Amino acid sequence: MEQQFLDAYEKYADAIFRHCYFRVYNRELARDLVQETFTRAWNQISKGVFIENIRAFLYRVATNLIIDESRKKKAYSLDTLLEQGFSPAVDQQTDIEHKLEGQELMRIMRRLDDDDRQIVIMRYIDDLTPKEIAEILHLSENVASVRIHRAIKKVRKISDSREEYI
Amino acid sequence: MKNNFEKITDEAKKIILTPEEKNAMRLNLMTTIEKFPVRVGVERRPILQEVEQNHHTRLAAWWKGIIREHSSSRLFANYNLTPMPIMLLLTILFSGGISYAAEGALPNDLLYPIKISVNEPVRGFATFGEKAKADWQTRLAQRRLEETETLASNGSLDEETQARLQTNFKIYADRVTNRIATIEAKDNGNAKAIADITANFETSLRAHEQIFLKISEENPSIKPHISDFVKKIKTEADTTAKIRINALENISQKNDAKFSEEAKNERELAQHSIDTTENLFTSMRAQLDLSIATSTEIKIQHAKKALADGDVQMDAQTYGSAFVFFQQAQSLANEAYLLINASMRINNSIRTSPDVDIKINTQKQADSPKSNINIKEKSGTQEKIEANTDNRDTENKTEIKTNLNLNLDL
Repeated sequence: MEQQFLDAYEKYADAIFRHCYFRVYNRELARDLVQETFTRAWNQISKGVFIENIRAFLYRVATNLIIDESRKKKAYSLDTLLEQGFSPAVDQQTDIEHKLEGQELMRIMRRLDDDDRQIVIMRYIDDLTPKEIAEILHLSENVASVRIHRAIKKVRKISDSREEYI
Repeated sequence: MKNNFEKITDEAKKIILTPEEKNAMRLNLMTTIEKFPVRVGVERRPILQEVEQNHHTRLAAWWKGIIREHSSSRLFANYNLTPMPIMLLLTILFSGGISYAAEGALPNDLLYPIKISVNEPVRGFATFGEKAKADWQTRLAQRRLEETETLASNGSLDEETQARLQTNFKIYADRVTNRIATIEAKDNGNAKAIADITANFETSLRAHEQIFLKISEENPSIKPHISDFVKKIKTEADTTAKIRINALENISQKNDAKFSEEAKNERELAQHSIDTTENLFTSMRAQLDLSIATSTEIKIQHAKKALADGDVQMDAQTYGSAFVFFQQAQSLANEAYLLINASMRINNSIRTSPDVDIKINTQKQADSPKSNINIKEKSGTQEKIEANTDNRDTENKTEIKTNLNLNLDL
């Protein structure tokens, strides 16, 4: 079981990191949250708690930790961070095109509210199924599907508005 | 637009941990895993079930089909598979699907030979370190006891199976004892490791002895079949207790600052065991008989009391004694855990006798259930450990209501 858990770490650590990163916009903090997520998950497993879907479970633990963190500190404002000179920590972002895409990504993300952003990341970046998203967010599968649909519509609208602007 | 969106999601996917960050985190995680191993009795929970279950079920069905077709074959006439078939089986069972399905098999099941001739030796082979090996042998002895209990409750324990299980139990119990002897000889008499192994083994033996006694009380016809087995379990438990007490006597003298770390670690483990047992208790309480719930609750209370006593010793910087209390807390919590587990396994049918005299005495640590070690303060500072190898608390008097509707998914 230890090996299975470590396999799950290899498989999902980056996605959980992304999930945290787009909520706190702080690489170090996101990293700490990932570590804490896996530690807590293992504690539950070692205590014999039944875990039906490890992936969904990890997202849920991470989401709870993010909520705890935002309660501890003042809510993170992407606008404030951007004003403070924050730029997306996209690795190996060497050429100008990537830089522009990175900026576009952050522009879209900052215009989405927390819930929509979370859903877009889970569905289109981490490739979670609507069923898994429903499980993580404690929603019915139908409601999750509707929210995914609405969120992606917003993304398209924001993205189109840029193209028109250009 | 679609391309633009894809570009953006591709960009987002680049936000990942660096290899250094990932490695550092993995190392931390491995330390946590080592520190808090999966509890005995829950070593195979359905984690990653979504990945494995269907796959395993299909493979198991296929394997069962083969076994049925060859049921007259001599290959499985007994469980003493030769090395070549084992190697072949390992090759055939490439994905582990069959062996996963075999984990819960009982002696009369088709997959049982896989469990004891493939799964268990392979896991034993992949276990490193004397302590880990001893813990694994303990678990194997415990498995034979659990199998016997299930069959006995089920009414399907025949003489031959019982004899075979008893022999197997003895083999594993001897291996635990030998492993302890090796640690004593090799590892400079590592008292802490010995105390840990023996506490684990003894707790398990005591809990199972209790369960067996109650099975035979409830079902007198089974008594003649298992009475010899029960005696063997008791003898093993008493022998283990003596070794444990010696180790603890040794430990209680260790009050140097260096040992404070060991005591702190033991405290953490004790707290973890208490939390685990309390969690299990909370989730299972509604399904437990009132008296077994009460009994478990008392054990948890005693465990907490031992933990608090250990804290007092820590403050007094008597780390060796603190360790002994913390280990006691752990054993109490573990025994409560095993009791709940057994209750679940035999389909919630363990019940405490209505006439059992349950005493709560938080003042006398020594009277707590499973308390074989008493620490008494003498002349203010001097401490002595008193051994009482056969002192079992009356509140442990539980009885098992046998039930034909068994949960075989162990």
